[in-house]
Amino acid sequence: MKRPLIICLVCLAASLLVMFFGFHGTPETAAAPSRTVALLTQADTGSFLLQLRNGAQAAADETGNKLTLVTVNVMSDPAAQIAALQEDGIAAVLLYAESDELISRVLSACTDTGLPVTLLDRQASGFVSASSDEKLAGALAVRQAKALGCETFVFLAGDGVASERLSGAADEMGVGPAEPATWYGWKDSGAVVPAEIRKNLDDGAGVIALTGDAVRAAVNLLSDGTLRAGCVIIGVDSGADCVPLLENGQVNAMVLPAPYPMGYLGFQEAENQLAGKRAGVVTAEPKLITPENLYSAEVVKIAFPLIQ
Amino acid sequence: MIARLKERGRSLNTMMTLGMLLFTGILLTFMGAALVPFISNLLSENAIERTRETVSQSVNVVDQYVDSTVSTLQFATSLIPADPDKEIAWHSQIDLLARANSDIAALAFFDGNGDCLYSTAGQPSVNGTAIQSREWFTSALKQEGTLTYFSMPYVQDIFRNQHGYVLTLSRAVNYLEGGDRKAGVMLMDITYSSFAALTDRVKLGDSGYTDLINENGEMVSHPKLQLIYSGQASEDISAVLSQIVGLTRDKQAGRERVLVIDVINQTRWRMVGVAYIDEILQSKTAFIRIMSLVLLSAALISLGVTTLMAYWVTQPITHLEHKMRKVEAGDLNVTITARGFSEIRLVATAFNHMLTRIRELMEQIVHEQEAKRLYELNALQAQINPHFLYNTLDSIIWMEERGRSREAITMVSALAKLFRISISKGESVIYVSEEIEHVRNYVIIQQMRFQDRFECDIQAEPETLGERTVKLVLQPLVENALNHAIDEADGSPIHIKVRAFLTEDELRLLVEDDGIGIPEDTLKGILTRPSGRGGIGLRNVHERIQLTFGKQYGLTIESKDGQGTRVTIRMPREKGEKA
Repeated sequence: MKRPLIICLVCLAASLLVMFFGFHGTPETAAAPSRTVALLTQADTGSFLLQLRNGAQAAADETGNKLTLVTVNVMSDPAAQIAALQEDGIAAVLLYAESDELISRVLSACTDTGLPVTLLDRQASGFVSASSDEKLAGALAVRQAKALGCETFVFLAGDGVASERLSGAADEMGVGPAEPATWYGWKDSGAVVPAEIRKNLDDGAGVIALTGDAVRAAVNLLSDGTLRAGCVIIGVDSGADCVPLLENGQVNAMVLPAPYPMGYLGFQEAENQLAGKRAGVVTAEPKLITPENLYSAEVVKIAFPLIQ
Repeated sequence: MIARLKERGRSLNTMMTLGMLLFTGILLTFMGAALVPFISNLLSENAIERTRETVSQSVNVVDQYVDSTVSTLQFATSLIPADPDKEIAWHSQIDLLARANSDIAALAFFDGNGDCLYSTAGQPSVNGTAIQSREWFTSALKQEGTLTYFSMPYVQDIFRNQHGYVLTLSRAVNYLEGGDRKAGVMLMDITYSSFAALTDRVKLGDSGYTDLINENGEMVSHPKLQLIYSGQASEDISAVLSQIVGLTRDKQAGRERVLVIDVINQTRWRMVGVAYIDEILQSKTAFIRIMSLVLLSAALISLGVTTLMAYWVTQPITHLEHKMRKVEAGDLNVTITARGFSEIRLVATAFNHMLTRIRELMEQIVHEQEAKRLYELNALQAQINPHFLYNTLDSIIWMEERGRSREAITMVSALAKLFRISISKGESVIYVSEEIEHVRNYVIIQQMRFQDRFECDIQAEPETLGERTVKLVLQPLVENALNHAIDEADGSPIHIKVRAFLTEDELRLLVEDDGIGIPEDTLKGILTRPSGRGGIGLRNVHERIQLTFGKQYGLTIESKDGQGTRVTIRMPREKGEKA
């Protein structure tokens, strides 16, 4: 009697287990718990930040995770803030800041605590980031200048990412990085265009300003006659606040970064880090904005980030 | 091992278990095969129908919204007086209309030259030809006030210091200017966000959504529009473009989708409801999962219950079998407990009775065999009766002393034959020929001793010689006849007849004498007591015959006092091997 009774009891127990684990293990009840990612920023306002946040939120909504905005500043102790965030259950961090010092301290604090961090709109060696494709930005500017009939080019360059843009522009021109006519001295007040640069500034020359300040400087040069009226000014990363220059015809085209996809990609990379998957440097394509497409739906969130 | 498994496989328990499992399996499979596809198809059809209804409802909502905005614009156009330059009351009416409707970003009226006569958003930064070249202006004029123009979403730039993300509706309005009939255009900008909210709210499952596509395949609204523009997402509308209204399916990013397409009447835009098949069919998947779990559980429960039931049914039989094997091995003291179904209990009870009967029969046989051996032993002992032997040997010596060697040899030979047949190698049943030979040798010996005192005629039918008889049955009767007849006789010789013959089914041996007979009262108990005076007794012969062949055989004694005695031995006809 023992064996059949044991078999019967085992079968009954197995059926109960099947029902229990089957119903409790259903996909809808076995969904992964949602995690919270913090978007750290210096200031909690700004049109660029707004679109970064919207993009990150869209990525969060897709996966059921959460995004929260947190401001940090260099005056307070970023390390303590990071530790506090971790205690509050923050699983990962997106960092968007302009201060190099703040970025450095936050990255260091995250490394110490093991909190996954993704840089937005910046790149740093050894860290996951989502930024604009700077080389493509430079290339798009040259391409547009050529489309507008420019045959010679002058670059108002800067350090940092502007170098990347210059490199992209040189590649588009098919020349080496040192060959494009590049003027760094535009930042100096009362600066005079050097002769080797001036010779490239004939009518129809393309003046490609590789930073926001450079765009304003180029416009000033145009208005004061330093640049001839026939010059084409193309700004790179001049910011949405320079859009009126395009509207007014002072700038012929702009290449602006796309913060919405940047935020989206950045959040995805943060999720990849949390899931233990490969995460690295991703880039979002910048947008070429011209008078023809300035008001189109395609670029509205880039050119007019605050528009509802 | 394989033989054992095969043997196990043939057991009733295994067959019952497998049979019931097979039946249950077929039943569950039928249920699964018949019900599951039917219900799951029903679920998926219902889910798709719900999706269709949701999209249809959304289309109705958007249709109503568009109708409402068109009506608002029409109303606005109705506010334009015949001479809008002179009569300006309509300005405040337009203002009121704009304020009353939060979706309206701007209402403005432009004359035929593109100059703004009034705008709720302030003076435009452009006019004249710059306005005349705008599509909303030219399209409205082209339709001559019969239809409303609908733009794609864009940033409105005509109003000073204002950029709104809008959809522009425009309609031609006839008015008088200097007595001339002119056509102007009423512009109404509605905020895109309020329009997009109508479709963004619609949820089709976890990942599903709705989007709007115009007649040229351009995206009017989409929940991932920004990502599409930035290249981070894509929307394959080829299936939509090939169908105006209805249901279609496609596959994107490895996921199958159901596209429900409907048309917004006023704008001819297509609303596409995108639902993912794997989400739509979640209820179907869940149902199949639940049914699988239920069927699996049912199968497990069935297995357990079947095993237990088969054991419960077959265990009494197994118990019966086990006890029978013990009996087969020789243990007749086994008792089977009657349990289980009534049929099994019946078999067990009958088996117990059978065992009891076997034990009784075996005891009886043992008892009978013992009795037989005892009687044989007695018969043999009687054969070696010292008196008979002494007397016979004395006779032999006397003959020899008197030189009658031939007679002595005859007597010795007869004696030897007598004892040889008596022993008969230990057999209890011998041929009638041997028994006749035995009694003949006895008679020879006795005739030499009791010369002329008796005559014995022995005759056996030839067909009796091969029959089987219990040994030492004739000699005791002849001896008995001799003993009583000679003792009581008056000197005249006794005639003894020994006959062997067959009836239809019996062998009969007859010993008849014409002696003094047996008194009636003596005859009555003669077969129940040993006879006196040296013989082994009629009872011994009678008992041995009955022990060997059964109660219906034995001795029948007929005798009348003074008239002789006839003893008939009845045995069954039994030819064949010696016992």
